[in-house]
Amino acid sequence: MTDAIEATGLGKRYGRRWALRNTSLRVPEGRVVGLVGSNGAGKTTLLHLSVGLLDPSEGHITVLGDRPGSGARQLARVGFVAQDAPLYNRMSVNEHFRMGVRLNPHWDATVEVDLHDRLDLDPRQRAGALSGGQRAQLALALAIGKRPELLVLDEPVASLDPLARREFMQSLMSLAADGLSVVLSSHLLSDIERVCDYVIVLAHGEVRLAGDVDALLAEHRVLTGPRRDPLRLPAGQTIIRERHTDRQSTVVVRTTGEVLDPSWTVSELGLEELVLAYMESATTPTTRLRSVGSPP
Amino acid sequence: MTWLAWRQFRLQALIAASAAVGVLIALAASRNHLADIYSATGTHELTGVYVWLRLLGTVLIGVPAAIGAFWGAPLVAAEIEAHTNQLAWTQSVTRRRWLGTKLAITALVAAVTVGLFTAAFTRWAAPIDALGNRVGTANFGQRGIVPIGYALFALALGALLGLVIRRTLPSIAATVVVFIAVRMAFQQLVRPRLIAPVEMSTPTFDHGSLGGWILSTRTVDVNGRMIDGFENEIATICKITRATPDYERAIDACARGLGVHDITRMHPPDHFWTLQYYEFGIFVALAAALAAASFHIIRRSPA
Repeated sequence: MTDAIEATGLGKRYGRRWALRNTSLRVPEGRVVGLVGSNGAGKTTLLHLSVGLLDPSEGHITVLGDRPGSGARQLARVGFVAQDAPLYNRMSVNEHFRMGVRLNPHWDATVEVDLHDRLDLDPRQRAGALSGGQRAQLALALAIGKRPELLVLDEPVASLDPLARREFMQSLMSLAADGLSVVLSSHLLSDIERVCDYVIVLAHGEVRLAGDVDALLAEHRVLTGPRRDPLRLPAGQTIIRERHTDRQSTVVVRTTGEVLDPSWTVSELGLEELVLAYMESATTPTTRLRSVGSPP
Repeated sequence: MTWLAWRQFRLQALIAASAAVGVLIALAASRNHLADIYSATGTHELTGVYVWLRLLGTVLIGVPAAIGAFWGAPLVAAEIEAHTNQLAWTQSVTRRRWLGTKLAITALVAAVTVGLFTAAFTRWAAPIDALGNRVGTANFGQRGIVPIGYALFALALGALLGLVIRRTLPSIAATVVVFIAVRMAFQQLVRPRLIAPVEMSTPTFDHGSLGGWILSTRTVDVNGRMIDGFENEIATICKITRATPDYERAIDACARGLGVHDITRMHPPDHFWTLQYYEFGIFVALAAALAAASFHIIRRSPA
């Protein structure tokens, strides 16, 4: 089976600044992938590289087995909604769908009916007069109308109010249920937690964590106990983030087996905590991925 | 893609077509009267609205620059600014086809409207040109087919600069500056050399119009040697002084008698269409080269 996205040593440079570096990852097909990271972490760059809007400065990326944007056929296989859902403001809702019909060979006309059913839009309304939620929904409908194999969404819910956000996420989940691969970036971790079964954490232009959500949650634990600083853990346990107060230490670890030390209170973490742990570890490089036996 | 390109451009196309039709009607309606003014019995002087109509020639000189600035420069730059290129470039259409279709439709409308305008104006101005001069620098660019070549060149130039500069306003400014520079340089340096000028012998002091584009004149004696300070010399030989009645005619007659004459290098009026074809062809070729550069650049252009 080909991967939805496969990147090797991928990097993108703007002038002298690297927006993305040393990125190697494999995203299997049929997943809903959440791409998280703080602003400027390289999320948009990675997404643009994967839909062919950017060319890599180094390394390689293939999407569905082919170079992104390499031709009309490859373009037809990937649906994309850019940040802030750009649309032609002077064109009506109706005309956007006509554009979809004209520019895509496998157009699915039901997306138009479906959108009108759900949103009660005036088809003659100009896109410039739509609300943020309506824009996002129209842009999503256009991307889905292509019948893509992979759907890429850059911050699709950033400008939406909570209600519109929930509707948007619901439409997304029903799509994923049909077997479409989806990659979406967001810094709203609660949304990622609800819809994504695969997560990629970016920080400072590098991938800090990538994998199946259930597998990642199974591999990570929070250990709480009396203060231990410096901290030593048995082999097989990697510190992701440690915090010490006067009396207590709280450690997020990645572990291959059970934590046996009885002085720790061991608990599981949610996706949000896990992602935050990796994002924070990225901002404090001294504690990053420090493991037993390695020099401090 | 044709549908989208036309949808985005149709309003501007409509405005341009209306303007062209307006010009056509105005010129057709006034043509007969203009022919009267310039007939053998006419006054040869334009008054009232005809002064304004003649200024349409100046407008015609400006139209290609406007096409480059307002159709060419925003063609890609405005989409990059509004991020709509991210929508367009992720449809199932390659960027080259996207750009090619947009350029083709805009070029077609530009060529047709400018073509109608210049055809009407060239016909309209024919009585004036019959007595004047349309080969040289002043009128050449507002007659014949070169305005179409300029328009296509300006359009391709604007599109390319917009693609490189990526912002509409700076692209518009750059397009106008570069277009004017190329036009002027071509007019001064290239056009006179497009075809070999004619050398002819003309009377030295006859100031009548030759009706062509004079590139240079030099005064020679009967042996073909260039002479300096000839007027004083001739005056001395023929004993003419400033006090002589009808001084100029006397000098002229004396020069003829001595065999002193001018060698004039010029493009006569019948060079007009040959020069037009060459210049049109070169500007169309330049436009094609710029478009090819855009096709090359857009493949790797960041969104």
